This record gives sequence, structure tokens and C-alpha cells, in this order.
Amino acid sequence: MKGLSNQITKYHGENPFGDYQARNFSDAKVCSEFYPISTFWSLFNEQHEIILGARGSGKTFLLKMMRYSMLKNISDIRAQQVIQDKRFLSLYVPMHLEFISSYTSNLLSEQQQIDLFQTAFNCLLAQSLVVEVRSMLEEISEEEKRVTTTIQMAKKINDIWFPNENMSSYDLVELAYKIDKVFYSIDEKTGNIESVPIVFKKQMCTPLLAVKSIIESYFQYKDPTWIICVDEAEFLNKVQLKCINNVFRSDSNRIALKVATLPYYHSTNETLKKGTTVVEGNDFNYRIVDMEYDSEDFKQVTNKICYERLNNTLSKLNPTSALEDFLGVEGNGDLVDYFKASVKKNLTVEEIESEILNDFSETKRKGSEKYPNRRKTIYDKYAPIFFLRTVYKISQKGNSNPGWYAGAKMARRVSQGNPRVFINLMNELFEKAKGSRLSTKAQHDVIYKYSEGICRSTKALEEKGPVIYRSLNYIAEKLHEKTHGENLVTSSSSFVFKFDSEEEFEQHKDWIELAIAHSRLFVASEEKRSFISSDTKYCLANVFSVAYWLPMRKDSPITIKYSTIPKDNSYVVTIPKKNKQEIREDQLSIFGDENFD
Amino acid sequence: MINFVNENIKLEDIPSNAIFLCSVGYEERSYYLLDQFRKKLSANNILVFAFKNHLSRTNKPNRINEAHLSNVKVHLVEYADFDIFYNSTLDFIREKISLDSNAYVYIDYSYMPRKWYCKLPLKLTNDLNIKNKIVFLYSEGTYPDNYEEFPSAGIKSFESFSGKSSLRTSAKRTHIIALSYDKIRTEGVLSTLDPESFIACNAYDVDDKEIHNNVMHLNKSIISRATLSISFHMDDFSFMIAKLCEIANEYLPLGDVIIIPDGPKPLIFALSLIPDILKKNGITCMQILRNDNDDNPNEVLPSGKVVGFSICQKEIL
Repeated sequence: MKGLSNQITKYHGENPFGDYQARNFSDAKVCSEFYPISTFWSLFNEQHEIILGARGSGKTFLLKMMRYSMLKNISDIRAQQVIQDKRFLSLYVPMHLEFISSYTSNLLSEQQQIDLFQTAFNCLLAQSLVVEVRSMLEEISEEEKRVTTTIQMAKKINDIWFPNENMSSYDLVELAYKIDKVFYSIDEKTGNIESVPIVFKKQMCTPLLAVKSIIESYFQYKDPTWIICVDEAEFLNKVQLKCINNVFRSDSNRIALKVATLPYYHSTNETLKKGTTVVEGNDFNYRIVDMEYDSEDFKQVTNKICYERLNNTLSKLNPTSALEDFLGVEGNGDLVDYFKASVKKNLTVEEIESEILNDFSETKRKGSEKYPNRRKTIYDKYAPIFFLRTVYKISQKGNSNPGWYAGAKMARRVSQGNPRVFINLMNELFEKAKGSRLSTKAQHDVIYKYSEGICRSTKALEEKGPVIYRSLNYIAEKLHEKTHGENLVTSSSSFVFKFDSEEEFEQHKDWIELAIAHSRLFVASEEKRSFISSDTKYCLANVFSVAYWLPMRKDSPITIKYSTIPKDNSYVVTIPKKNKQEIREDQLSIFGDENFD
Repeated sequence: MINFVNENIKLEDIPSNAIFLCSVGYEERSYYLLDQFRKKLSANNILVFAFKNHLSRTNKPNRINEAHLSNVKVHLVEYADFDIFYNSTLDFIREKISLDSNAYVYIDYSYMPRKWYCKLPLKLTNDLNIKNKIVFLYSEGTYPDNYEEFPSAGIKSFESFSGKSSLRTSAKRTHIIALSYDKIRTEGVLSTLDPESFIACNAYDVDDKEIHNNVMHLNKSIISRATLSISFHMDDFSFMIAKLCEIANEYLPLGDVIIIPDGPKPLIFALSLIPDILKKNGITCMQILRNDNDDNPNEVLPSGKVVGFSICQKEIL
């Protein structure tokens, strides 16, 4: 089935996939593109949770959408139910690096850092609260009632937050102004917070605790849980994380924190009380929001994104199959269909099975005669690897571009459940489609180059980029050698390390964790929650599988002796040499200043 | 209010009563202006800062011991000793100006840590309260064709330098980042900060457009993701300041503006000054700290070209 991408072959408009950051979007756009995955509704609970997910996995999107101001715009009956039930109220509090780095100076004592961070956090929380309250007040249709409620609520909140200060206008704008004033009075150089009202100086969330009953009473909420969505917590240092953990350990007072961060960045369980730590399962839970590429959630998310962004450009786009509609489908969209298209033969299962057997070693071929259930033990098990090997050989021939890495299923595989990676990939595919027909070969070309680009960009990851890049490159090449050896064997993208000692693992695990946090390596969910060990099994990201022509499978890991991996963490900056152009005296220059008589 | 004026430096026009300050070290480039000024000024009017760890990092002889520099005052400091550097600088300038109130002050920042020179214009104009011209000089360098680098230390690499963020949680923030030949470093910055949107800027020698073309080509994937890309001439510091202030003011209503100085030093300098010039909440500057693993200093030779600007206080009428 040909894709609808043909409709944009001469399109000159803006690429609708150019904008990939959820934080960029207007609230209206966020709502229109939002697909509530199964995790989303389950976040409305009374537990403290640490939300783990790679960059671009959708953490910010999920947390932002939990707010009342966003929920009311979601046309989903479950959203309306959450609002009507009045059991939860959410606030969004992002820990931007420029916000929290002011309070991490080495010149400040730990206590000063704690005081400053908690004060700043409380100011940010208070401001977020004012934003949400304003949104809730907008729902009051009667103007007089809305104005009266605003004035009364503002005055009561002011009396608690700023007990010695009157208000002049009794509105939320003035309240927001006062919070700003408190925030800007914080002296981060000296740690002086003397002039800060007491409610802002206490433990995190105190300003909310102090006024929540007022808000609940005006909006007829009966003992709801306030969900504080703390985003970008990977930027918090150890002292600041202790403040967060302290909230986990304290009496909840109907407040639940949802703290979004990268895997392994919640680097301490200590609290502000010496000797007291938080315990997963008791004080908080981990929640992983990364999606599997073949999950129903990711399928729906990708179709929703495609539909919302392409709907105005393409006709006949179906919301439930927008990606398939755009890219087209070869046969049933399975690997065998793209294989047959690549080799240009309509092979039967038996013919393929025969080819697989021919690709075995002599010994294995003889042994396979005894295999039970040959469809399962030969075809199902080895066909994907056989397809890959065959298509790879085609790709190595000059001027041959197979249409292998193509189609909706492959686009989802390469994106590996990450919405941002998916949108970036779609950006590339859309650009290609603007200039020429997006055939399967064209799709293959885009997906392959895109995957190569992500592999190369691994070198630039923070802190350990070069060593991650070199190590994964080495491992991928080993896996490639196994996959594309003389004979067909079981192979995959997975591996385990063999360390000489436990110390060797402990000394070097930091780059491995970073690779996982940045979606270059994948591990079982349990190990993302807790920690990796010297026995952990890893799988290269599917972008590596594409770039190195590896089967996107997790079985049959190879063993990599850790000491053989290149560990140099440097890279080379090359200054391009200047072009030496020979200047000929008899050569006229159009742009020179010769006089022509 | 401070005025930034481009200066076309001609070494033959340097008055003999001028004051000169610089820091020197591994790079040959760091000695270029010192050698020039030493020919014109008495040793008493020169103050040099050298780094204590120079000798431990290299077998290269320490040039500060050369004969023609023998009477020059040298302070040995640690890289992190901003207070010692600044107080010494202030004391030296004050002393010299008390003897000659018309003396010009020349500061060569080519080899200074950014945390030293980026604070100087505002601090000196606050603390000195003088009408003397203070000229900041940068000696352009020729880098080796290939040199080894280490990645920045991730989140820990960024330190708040100036300005204060706002409490606008829903607004769209804009980062201003700088491009250079070290694309890996820039991509590393982006991978750490994960900006919502960013503006990419770069600065080049107007006499060497090829550098500009090379940097733009090398960084085209970064530029394609930027909201805006802007190029500056390294010798037009005044325009850099004006344009960057304009950009920051333009984007501030949309959300916070976060400046990450990098690239050639004049660009780092200009970017670093913006929050303190504009004094608006929501405009911040974060510096990238050096990587302590980097034990391989690069040999940078002087190209012979010097760019500079001067500051003087402007009375608001």
C-alpha cells in the first residue's frame, strides 16, 4: 500500500515535526497531541513516586498534563472523571538547572544550601499554586461570584503567607508579585533569608500546607491529595535530593510528590536527618514511563502525533493508523514482507526455510534434521536473522539500496518507545518526502542515516560521551562479526560484560549507567529502578542495531571481556586546513577592483 | 552605566605611562602582548599573573624567567584564586593611577580564566570610580591542526555566574549557546541542558571568513535545530554587546533567557556580561567549568592580530 506521503512531494510549507520539545508547546498544542498512556491515569494516587524515563520519553508531558488547567482541556472521559471526583489536585514545579544552580555554591555550608533551596522551592511552588488557582477560578462563570471568590481567597492566602503585609488590590496578580519579591530577596551569595516570610523558609511544601484548606473549601474539594510534580530532578545535587527525600519520609499531609528524573540520577536515599534514609516500597516507589516500541501505548502515541501534525496537510489520514497511512505498508508490514520486496522475490515459507538451512554450517544443517516443530525451531527462530544477513549483502553491492529499514513498525522500533526520537525521525522522513517520493528505499536511507547520526552523537553525551561511543562501537562490531559471519547462527544485539573483579565493575559502571540514562543501552526494568550489577544483561539501542546491521533481539547475548574495551575518554578536535588557492596574475576577478576603461 | 567602545589597537600608539596587566602560562600566545608592552613600558607599570600548576603540567620552560621580564612583577596564583587576582589588580591600578591620573589601563585577557576577566568591567568601574580608559585586549591565536579534548563533566560542569531566573513555570525558555570547532563540546552542552529552544551564535575574525564558513559547516546539524543563528565579528565587541542585549530583551517576555558562554574569548566575554548589563530577572548566565581531567594543555601560537575594546563610565544625564 502506497503511503500518503506522496501528497507532499511538492510541499513547501513548514515541517510539522520540526518542534519536538513538549516544553515548547502552548497548552493547546500539548492537549491536542496528548495521548493518555496507561501509566498516566495510574499516576493519580497518593504515593510518593520517582518517575524514571530517558530524555524525550514523555515525563514532562505526563506531569504537565496532570494539572487541573490541562486536564480540563483533555477530551477524555477519564479526565473529566478526575476533575469531577475532586480527589486530586496537581501542581507543576520544574527544577531548571539555572534555577537550582544558584543554591549550590561551595562557599555555602550544607545548611545554608538546604535553607536556600527549600525557600526557592517554596516560592516556585507557591507561584505554581497561584497559576492553578487562577485556572480554577476561570471556571466560575458568574463574574460577580468569580471576583468575590478571588478577592476573598487572595486575602486569606495573603494573611497566611504575608502576615504583616496588606494587599492593595486583593487579586492573584498581586499575590504573584509578592512571591516574586520574596524570591528575589533571597541572597544566594550569603545564604541570608532573614527577610523571607516564615512559611517560605520552612520545609518544602509548607506554603501549600498552610493554605490548601482554604482552596479546598472554596472549590468544594473534600480532603484531596495534592500532587506536586517535580520535573528535571536530574539537576538536583545530593543536598537537594536529601530535601526531597525528607518529604518522602515525613508525614504526607495529603501531599504526594512525583519526581521525574533520569535513571540512576536519584543518587541518594539519605534525608536531612542523619542516619535516616528513605526506603523504596515504604517511603516511595519507582515508576518507569519508558514505553516498549511494540506496546499499544506507543502505537497510539505515534499515531496521535502523526495525525495531529499531518491532518492539515494530508487528506484521508486515519487517526488510528496515521503513521501507517503516511509511510505506506509493504504487504502486512512484517519483516518478511520487506525482505521479499528487497530481494524482489515472492518466496514461500518453505523456500525461505530451505535458504536458511543452506546458510547454516554443515554441522548445524545436519543437526537441524532432528529439530522438532521446524516452523518454530528453524523459520521463526532464524528467519529474521537470515533476512538481515541477506539484505545486508544486498546493501554492500554498489548502487544498491534495499528498502529494509522502512515502514511504520520499523520507525517505531528505531524510536524504541521514545516520543522525541520518533518526532525527530519523522522530521527527517517528512523532509525527505517533500523533495521526492518516500519509497521504502528512501525510508531505508533516512532511517539508516538517522540511526548512524544518533550513534555518532553518543560521543557528545555529557561527561563520558567518548568512552560510551568507543565502547558501544567496539561491542557493536563484535556483534556484527557474529551476525554476518560465514554461517548463520543465533545472534542479537545483546551482551554481558565479563569483569576481572567486582572492583573493576564498580570503578567503571558510571559510563554504563549514563548510556542507559541516555537510551544507548537497555536493561530490564528492575535494573533501571535499582542498580546494575556485574551480571546485568544489556541490549544495544535499536539505532545501533540499524547502524551495525544487527538483529533487534535480546536473546543469546555474547560475552565481552571488559578489559578489552577501549576506555579513552578523550576526543580530537580538528581545525580544517585552509584552502591554499593559487592566485594567477593574469586571472580576472569579477569582484576585484580593476578599472575597466 | 558603562560604555563599550571598539578599539583599533596600534601598539606604536600605546602611551609610555600606560599600565598593563596579563596572565601567562603554557601558550606562546599568552606572552605576545606582554613582550610588546615590555618594549614600551617600564617594568613598574606591568603586573603579570602566572599559574602555580604550570610547571607540573609540562616540561616546557617557564618563560616568565626570561631576562627581559626579570623586573616585571609576577604573582603566582591558583586558577581558582579570583579574589587574590582581583584584589591584586585593583591595588596595582589604584597605586599607578594615584601617581598618574591620566594613565590608560590595558588588560590582556587572552590567557585568563573566564571567571577572572568576565567580572572585571563591572567590578572595576564600581570599585575604581575613575574616568580612566580601561582597554581589554585579546590576542588571537593559531591552534594546532588537531588537539585532544575531554568532555565536560556533565551537570556538574555548569555553575551559576550571574543573573537570576524567574518563577515562570509555564513560559518557554531560550538558551543562547556558542559554536566553535569543538562540535562535540557544544553537543555535550546541549545533551546536558536539553534546552527547549536555543539560539546559536558564533564569532570570527573578519579577515578570515573561511573560519566562519568552516564553523558553520561543522555545526550545521546544531544550527538546523536552533531557533536563530547569529554571527559576530570578533573585533566588533560593541556590536556583540548591543545585539546580544537586544536578543535577550526580545526573548525575555516569552520566558527566561539562559546564556551559556563558549567559543572564542571575546564572545565568551560579551555573553557573560549581558545579565549584569541588563539587570533583569529571568536573564541568567551559567559558565562551563573546566574539566579537571584535562591535563594536556594546547600550544596556541599568537597570530599577531589583536582585538580589543574599552570601557568607560557614562554619566546618565
